[in-house]
Amino acid sequence: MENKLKMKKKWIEILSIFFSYVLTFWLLISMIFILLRLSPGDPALKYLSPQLNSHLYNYVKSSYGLDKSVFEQYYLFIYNLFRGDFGISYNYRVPVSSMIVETAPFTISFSLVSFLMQVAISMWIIFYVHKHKGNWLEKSLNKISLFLYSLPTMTVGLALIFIFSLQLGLFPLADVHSTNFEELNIFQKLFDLVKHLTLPIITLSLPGIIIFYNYLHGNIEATEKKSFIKFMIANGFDKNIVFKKHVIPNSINPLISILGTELGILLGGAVITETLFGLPGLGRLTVTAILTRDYPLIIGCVFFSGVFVLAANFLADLYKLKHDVQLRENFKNL
Amino acid sequence: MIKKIQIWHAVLILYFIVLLLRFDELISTIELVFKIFQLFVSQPENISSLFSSNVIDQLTSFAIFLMGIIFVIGFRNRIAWLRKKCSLTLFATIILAFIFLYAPILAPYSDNLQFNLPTAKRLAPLSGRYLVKMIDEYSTRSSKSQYQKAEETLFRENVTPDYYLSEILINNQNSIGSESTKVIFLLGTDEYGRDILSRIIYATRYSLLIGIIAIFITGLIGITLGFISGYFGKYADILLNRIAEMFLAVPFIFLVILCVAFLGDSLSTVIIVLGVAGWMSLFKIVRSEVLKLKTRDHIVTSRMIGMTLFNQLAKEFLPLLLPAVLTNLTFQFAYIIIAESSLSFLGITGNYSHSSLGGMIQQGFLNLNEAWWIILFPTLIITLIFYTVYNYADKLRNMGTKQISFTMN
Repeated sequence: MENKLKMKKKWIEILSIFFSYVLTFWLLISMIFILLRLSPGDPALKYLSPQLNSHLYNYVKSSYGLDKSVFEQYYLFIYNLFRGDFGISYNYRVPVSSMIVETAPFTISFSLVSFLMQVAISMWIIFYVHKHKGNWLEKSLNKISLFLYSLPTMTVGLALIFIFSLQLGLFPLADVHSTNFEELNIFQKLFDLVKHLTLPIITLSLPGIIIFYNYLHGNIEATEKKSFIKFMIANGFDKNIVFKKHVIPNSINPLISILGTELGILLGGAVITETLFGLPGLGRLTVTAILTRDYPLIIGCVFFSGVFVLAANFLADLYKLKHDVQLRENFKNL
Repeated sequence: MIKKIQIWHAVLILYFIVLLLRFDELISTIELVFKIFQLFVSQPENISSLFSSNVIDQLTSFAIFLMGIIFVIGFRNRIAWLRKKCSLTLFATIILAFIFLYAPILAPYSDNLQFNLPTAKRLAPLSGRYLVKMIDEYSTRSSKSQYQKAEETLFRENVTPDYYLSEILINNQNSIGSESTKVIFLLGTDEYGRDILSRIIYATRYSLLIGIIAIFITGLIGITLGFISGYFGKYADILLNRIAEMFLAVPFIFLVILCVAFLGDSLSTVIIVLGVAGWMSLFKIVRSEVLKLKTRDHIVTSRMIGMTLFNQLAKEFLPLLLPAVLTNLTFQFAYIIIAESSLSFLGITGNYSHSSLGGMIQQGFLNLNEAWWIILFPTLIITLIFYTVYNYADKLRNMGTKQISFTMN
């Protein structure tokens, strides 16, 4: 009986979180619509290439329902977005949704690899620093972490390109794979991809590594001072086992909560990284879209990135609800 | 030795260097002031037509320059912080302040001045050329007043046919009279034959100016909405929180791109958009602080005795909110400067009439193989600005405020 009540409560919590995200989602759509209406000039012209003739203008105007009232347009706008119909990019002459489907996988996997690299490298540094306390790495990181973090993505990318691509010639300048990619066998293909993506991933990951390191380092130091850890060590448990099984799990939890923001940073950083290295991703697509004033494409890209970050935040919230007891207590009091 | 340098020493040294290097410029500014004074005496009705934005810019920064020297020398014993130890961050700040305040004096040329391309294209740093000024009979006899000539030597916006660069010294004993002076391009010239030093100085100034105005907008919106949300609660709180979540969902750069795409890419739009795009984190901080402070005794009392809302905010809340707000705004200032230069690097907002650091980097990126200096110096300046501001923010955060949001996309 009690169990059932608990389950019910949990579902209500999940539903209320879900509802708040739906509200945010609706606000996002409304903001895009309001911006579209607020912008100076005829909205029909924004869906139309300037090179097309005026006969088509009327056709497009009625096909987008722009001759109807504002509320009807609003309804149509939402309806179209839900159907995945963002309009047709007039620069590429293909539906926007298919363009996003084409480019998004690259950006998502690119960000994901970068995220994994960040976690892996910062964890490695944490372990290394923990093993040899007060060694050169910890000292130097404490001193230059602020400097490393304050290096803009642009600067890092440019410096890497200049040193490793132009001066040393170790890595290629742009694109994901070489022109003769199809002729290579599978190992060569893998090597080719790694060679092309090394610099972009370093560029995208560097600030994140420093953030994670600083964050984890502070958390771990705080956890190590807690009494249960001291108690375990005093009772003769192996220090390494205590560190791996008790310190790390207890200090890694708050990291999940910045995952959503981190994803936003990654997507934003991907815009610059992809443009710098000429990679075919969502960020570069957005930049090309705005440079050619391709309005349907801009709306599609922004909408997609927003939904992506919202979904990640939602998952992080659910995770927190399951694992973070303190937050659950807070939630009851709301 | 270095550890004993105080702030006013550093400022004076910089003033001395500027005096030494830009002596001609200062002399011609004094000349300009003198000519304006003469004109004011002789024909006071035409005086308003003389003040173009260039002239006002030059005169204000000249006035601030003189006042700055007097201030530092005169007040060094009375004001305590002038006698503080000058750390590297402080020194960088002083340099940035110099560039911000004295850009027209420091910059040798206007930021859009193009020299004749065949000679001036992509000159390496420290390369010297001869600037030849033609004095043919036409220009000496032409109707240019003395004031116009003085103005022309200060603000050369376009290359008139009277000036050109030459690689060799030209003898001026010919029938066409010409004067040549040696000029050195300290940081070289770019693709279009413009002096990089001048462009960097003006671009830094604009970058800082954009950041300051945008941060002002952010502070205004963030504090107002945060106060409303925390103070009134209920529906306003729920609605504003959802809106903040919505803004947070879209990555910063995407948000700015969206706004710039629909509202145009003029300078004022970019400033407003950059200011509006970052209000969320400040809003959350102010809201949570106000929620905590609301139940305190002195605030309840101030409400009881009937203080107006604005007075409550200004006199009771703001002094307590200030550390948190300042820290957050300093962080945001750094991010806004980076965002602005990233945007103009991507070519999204670069269409201003002035130079911008991001635009220079973009141009350098296209010429990376031939001319490394075009890209190096703007990048260094951006990193310097970001590092300096970030350092301050970090110090502010460590000074006692704990709950400052670290990230703002």
